[in-house]
Amino acid sequence: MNSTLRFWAAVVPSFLFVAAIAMRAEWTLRTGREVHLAVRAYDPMDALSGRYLAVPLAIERVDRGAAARDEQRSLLGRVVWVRLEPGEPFWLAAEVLDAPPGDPDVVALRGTVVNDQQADLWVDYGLDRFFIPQDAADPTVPRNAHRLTAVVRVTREGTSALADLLVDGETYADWNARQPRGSGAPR
Amino acid sequence: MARAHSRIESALADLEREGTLSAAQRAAVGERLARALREGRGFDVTAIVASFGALLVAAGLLYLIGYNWEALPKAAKLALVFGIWIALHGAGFALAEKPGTHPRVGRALTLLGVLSFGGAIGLVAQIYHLSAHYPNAILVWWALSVPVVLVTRSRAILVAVMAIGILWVAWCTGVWTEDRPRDDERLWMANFTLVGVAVAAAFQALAALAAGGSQERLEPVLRSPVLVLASAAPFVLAFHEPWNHGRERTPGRDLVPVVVAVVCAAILLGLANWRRGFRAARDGWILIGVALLLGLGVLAAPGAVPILGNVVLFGGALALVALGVRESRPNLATWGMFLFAAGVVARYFEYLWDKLEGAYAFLATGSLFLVAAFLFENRRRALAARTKGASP
Repeated sequence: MNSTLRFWAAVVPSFLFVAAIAMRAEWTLRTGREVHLAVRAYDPMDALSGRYLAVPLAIERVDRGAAARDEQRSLLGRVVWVRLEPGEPFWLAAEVLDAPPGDPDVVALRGTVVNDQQADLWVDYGLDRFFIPQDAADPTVPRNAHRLTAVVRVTREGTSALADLLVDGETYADWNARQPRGSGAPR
Repeated sequence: MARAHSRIESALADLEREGTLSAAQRAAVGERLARALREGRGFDVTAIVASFGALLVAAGLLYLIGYNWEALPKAAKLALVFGIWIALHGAGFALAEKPGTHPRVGRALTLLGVLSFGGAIGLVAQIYHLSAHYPNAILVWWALSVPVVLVTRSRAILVAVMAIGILWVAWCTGVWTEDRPRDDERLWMANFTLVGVAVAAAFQALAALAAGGSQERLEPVLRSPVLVLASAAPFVLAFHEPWNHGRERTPGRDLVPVVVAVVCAAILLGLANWRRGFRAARDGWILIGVALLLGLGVLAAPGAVPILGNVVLFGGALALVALGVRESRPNLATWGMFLFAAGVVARYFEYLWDKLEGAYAFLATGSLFLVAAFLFENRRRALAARTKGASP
């Protein structure tokens, strides 16, 4: 193998990996079904990706009784599908499944159980960060001043992507545009 | 570099005058020396300046991405990131390989390309609001950057890739430990430090594999973090405090990161053993033994962990000094003495600090440091003289 081919064979997989992440997220956003979920947000930083609002979903905490498995067996680390039911104003977790539901009309989010203690399961869906510009306004301050809603797209396989964050029913971008300049400097 | 070269030339001339070297031998030595310098085995200012430049530009790119500029649409952001990233690798290849007019700057740009991979992952995560419980993206960043090290054989890129690998291992260990139902500081101490010993063994195996092969110039870099990583476990586990509370045994599944790390290191050591022989892999096997011994202590007899830690700490320090003298490796002897002194100081603070008051504590501590430094300097000089004397 000549040096040109060797060099590009070494670097091209990294391009493909990042492109695959972007394509998967784009596919989910374009084809997934939209659900609205309650969040309890706050405002931290990520070393690589910058400032974000942590938007832990209310459905991250699921009643253990919703799991059909043997009560004695720990689900820690297991991949599960949490079936959602429409509610007003938010969709709610109804059942924890072992596999994606076959019915295309059923919405179920794929996640990993990260804590299995006592009466609750804690499920991580990879949906708890909404990235915002460095100088954008922060709707989490003062606490509970705004009602925040995560708009999530979910495919039949349970793959999900965070499409938007609603602040009192308005998209984050629109809400932020109405805020006075300089009001959102990170603390 | 030029001054060192002229001093060696002058020493060679003296040896020829004294009759120790013939004219032909002197010419041969001079030629070999010139070739080694041409191959860049010495201190390379250009490469270091270029690498620092790459690191600064990478920091700037990450800062720009972190700022999350909102003016650009999603497609433009992606095009910009992929465009810059591909251009960096393209320019790096052109300058370093074909036509290869500026190899050091070219390698720095390839290093920048490797670091930009992490930036690209961060940007895509930002655009699509992605997050994950385990740092899988860091794992892929590391794994897909390893072939770049093998192809370029660049030490600077290897340092970056090793740092990414260590970051991933530490992050993963932290997530696993945090997920345990039992919030126990002993578990944090045991998992992090014993995984560190296993990672040290893995680096030792990789260094053994690199030595004598096509990747030989990477060997010193691979070996460089071994002593620090390996010493952390006995030093940290030698403290009594966390092990005094509760004597219940640690469930085996709580040490899964240690088991996984030890198995991976053992596989690499097996490979090094097979390719380069037992002697090349020996130090790594010793480290695996240390990790298993301390790990068994954590599992079966938590109360005995500080005793085991102290035995390994002081025994290991003395063994390093002995090995350093026997095999003419002054860095081993120096590290062994440093570890011994650090252990003595740590035990002093652990057991005697509370028994002294105010000024006495400062006076005693200051005196201890001065005496330790005096002894350290004396012993170091003597050992360095012995190891030099033993060199062929």
